[in-house]
Amino acid sequence: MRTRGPLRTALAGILPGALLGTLFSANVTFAERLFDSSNLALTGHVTSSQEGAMEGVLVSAQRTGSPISVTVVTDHAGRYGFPADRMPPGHYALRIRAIGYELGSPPGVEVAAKGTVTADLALRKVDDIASQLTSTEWLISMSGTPEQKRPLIECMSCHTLERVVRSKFTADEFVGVLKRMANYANNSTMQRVQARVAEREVPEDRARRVAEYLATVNLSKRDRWDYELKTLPRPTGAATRIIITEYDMPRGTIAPHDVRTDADGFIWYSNFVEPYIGRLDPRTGAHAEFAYTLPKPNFPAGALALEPDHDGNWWLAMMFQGGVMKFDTRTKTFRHYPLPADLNSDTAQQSMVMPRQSHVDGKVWTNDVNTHSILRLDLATGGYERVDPFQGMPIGANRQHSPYGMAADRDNNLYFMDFGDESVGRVDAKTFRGTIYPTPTHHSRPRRTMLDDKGRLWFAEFAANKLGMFDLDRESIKEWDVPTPHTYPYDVYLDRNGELWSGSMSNDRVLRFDPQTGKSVEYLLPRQTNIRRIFIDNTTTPVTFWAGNNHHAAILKIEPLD
Amino acid sequence: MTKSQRASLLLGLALVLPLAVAGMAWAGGASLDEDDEDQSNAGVSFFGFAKDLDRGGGVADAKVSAEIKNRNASLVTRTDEQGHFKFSGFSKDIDPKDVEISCSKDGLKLQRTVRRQPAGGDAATSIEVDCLMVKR
Repeated sequence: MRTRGPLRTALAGILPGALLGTLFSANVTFAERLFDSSNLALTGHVTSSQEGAMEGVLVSAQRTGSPISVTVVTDHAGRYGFPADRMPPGHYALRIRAIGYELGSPPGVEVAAKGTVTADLALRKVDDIASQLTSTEWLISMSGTPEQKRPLIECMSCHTLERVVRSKFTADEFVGVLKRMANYANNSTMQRVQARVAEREVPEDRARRVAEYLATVNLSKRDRWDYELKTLPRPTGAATRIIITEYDMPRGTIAPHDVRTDADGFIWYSNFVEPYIGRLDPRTGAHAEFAYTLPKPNFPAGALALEPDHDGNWWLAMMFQGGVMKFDTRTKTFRHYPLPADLNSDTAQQSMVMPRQSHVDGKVWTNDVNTHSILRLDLATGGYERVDPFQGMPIGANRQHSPYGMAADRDNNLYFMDFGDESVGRVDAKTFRGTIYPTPTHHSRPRRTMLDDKGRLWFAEFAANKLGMFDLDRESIKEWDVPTPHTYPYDVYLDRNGELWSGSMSNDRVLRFDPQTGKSVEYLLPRQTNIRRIFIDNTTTPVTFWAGNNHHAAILKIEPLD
Repeated sequence: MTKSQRASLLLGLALVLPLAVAGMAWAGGASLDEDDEDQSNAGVSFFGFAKDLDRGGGVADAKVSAEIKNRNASLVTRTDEQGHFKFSGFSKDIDPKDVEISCSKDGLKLQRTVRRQPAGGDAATSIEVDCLMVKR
C-alpha cells in the first residue's frame, strides 16, 4: 500500500470512507492517479440554509474561452474537489445542478498553476422548480394513465416535455400542432427543424384523442399545473463518485447522435441534422468536420447510425438522404451507395447500418423505415437486396414491425431489434430466412443493441423501461427493469467488467447496472442531455463512458471513480 | 363502452387502419397512439403447453417454434415455469393449417403435438397445441 499524507488528507474530504478503503488498495489506481498530480486545483463546500451540507450537488467549471467543462459531485459532507490535471490555469465560471436550488450569483474563480483555490457555494431555494424538471419528472408528475402518457415519448425525439406542459394550446389547437409535428423529420432538433418532403396524414380521431389529453396537463385552462411537481432524488453515495467532461461543439446546431472512439483515441460522431461526420480529440478539445455532398439536397440532412467496418472506416446510415455512406478514414473521402430507383422514394429512410462483418461476404446491412424492411448492400455491385423477415408474423394493432438496432455475428448473419413492436430478429446471411423472437414483455420496442464476445446480444427496451439480453446459443431472452420509471433507455453497452451502461432520452441520467447482482447506480448529468447511442471505452481503467448530447451540441465523457 | 359501440369502433378502426399505420410511422416506426386492446388486424393465435409425459407436468424453458409453410420465416419463444407458451395472432393471410408448432428441450424429445380447439374457444381466433415430450 502506498500512502501520501497530503493527498490522503485532501481525498478524505472528497471521497466517502468506503471508497477510500478501495482506493488505496493495490488494485484501484484511477482515482489515486487522478488526484495525485498536484492535489486539488479547486475545492469547497456546498450548503444551503435548508439542508446545511448538501450531498449530490453537481458542480461544473468551465474555463473562459474553452469548449470543455468539467463536473464533479459533492460527497456526503457537501465537499467537492477538482483534480489539478483537469483544470489548466485560468478563469473559470462555476455552475451547479441540484433540483430545487440555484447558485445565487455564479462565482468565477481564478485557478493558478500551483496551489488550491477554495470556493464555498451557498445555494438558495428556487421559487419555481418547473424549469428544472426533466421529461421523466414531468411524466411522473402529470395526471393521466400510462396509455394516455405513452404517445408523449415520441415528442422527446425533438424536444423535452417542458415545451408541451408549458403550452397553452386547447385540444382543438393541439390537433393542428400534432399534425404539424408529424410532418417534421425525425432528425430535427429545436436548433434545426427539418420538414419532411412527403406529407404524412394523421388520422383525426387519433390526433384528437392525444390532443384532448395534452390539454388536460398543459396551461390551456389554468395558470399553474394542478398536479404536484415531483422530482427524482439527488445523487448519493456511489452516484457521486464520478468526473464528467463535456466538450461543447463549435456550433449549436451540431447534433451528435452516435459516438464512437477509434484506435487512435479520437471520438467520432454522426451529425443527425447536418451533412458532416465529426471528430473530436478529447486530449485537446480540437474538433474537425468532414463534409459530404447531400445526395438529395431538398430532403432533410443528417445521418443516424455510425458504425465501423473491419478496416476502421466509418459507415453512416443516411436517413432521408437515402442509402448508406462510407467514410474512408485513410483518404478522408466519402463514397455514397444510393438506393435503387424503386426504393428511393420521398419517404425512403435508412436509420441503421451494419458493416462490421462486411469483410466476410462483401455485404452491408441497413434498413428501410419506410417499408419496414431490411436491406442488404452488395459492395461489389452497389445493388441492394430487400428482406422481409416478418412474413405472416403477429403484430399488435395500430403498429408496424420496424427493424432498428443491428448487430452481425462472425458469419455476417444479422440480428436486429424490432423497434416498432416487441421482437429480436435474425436474418440468415445465406438464405435470408427470418427468425423472430418476441420479448417476454409485450410491446417492449427494443431499440439499439450490441453483441458481446460471448454470443450475447444486449439491448434497450425503450417502451418497456427494461434492459434485455438475447443468448444466441440458447435462443432465449432475459430482461431487467431499469430503476427509474419513464427512463426510456435508448441503448445499452456491456463493459469488460460485465456491467451494463445505458442512457436516457428523458431524465438526464446514465445508468450503470450489474446484471449479476441487480445493483445499479444512476449518474445525474450536469445539463439537459438527450442521449442516443452510447459507447464504452474498455481500454481505460476504469472504463470510460461516451455519448452525444443530441439536442445540445456536446459530447459527454463519464469517468467513474470506482 | 357497450358491445355494439366497441364493435362499431373496431369496424371503424379496421377500415382506417391501413391508412393510419402507413401514415403514422414515427421515429423508427412507432405511432402517435396505440391501443393494445385492439386486435382487429390479428389472425389466429396459438397457445398451449409443453408436457413431460414421463414425469408429468409442464416443461419449463422449452424452445417452441412456429414454422409457417412457404414463408421463409419462423417465430420462436420459450415456455414459462408451468410449461405454457403463446403466440399472438399471426397475419390474417396465414392459414392456421400452414402453421406448424414444435418444441425442443435438452434431454427430451418431441413425441407428437396435439392440436385442438380450446374448450369454449373460437377456432377462428385461437388454436391450442400441446407438445408431448418424452425422455430422449
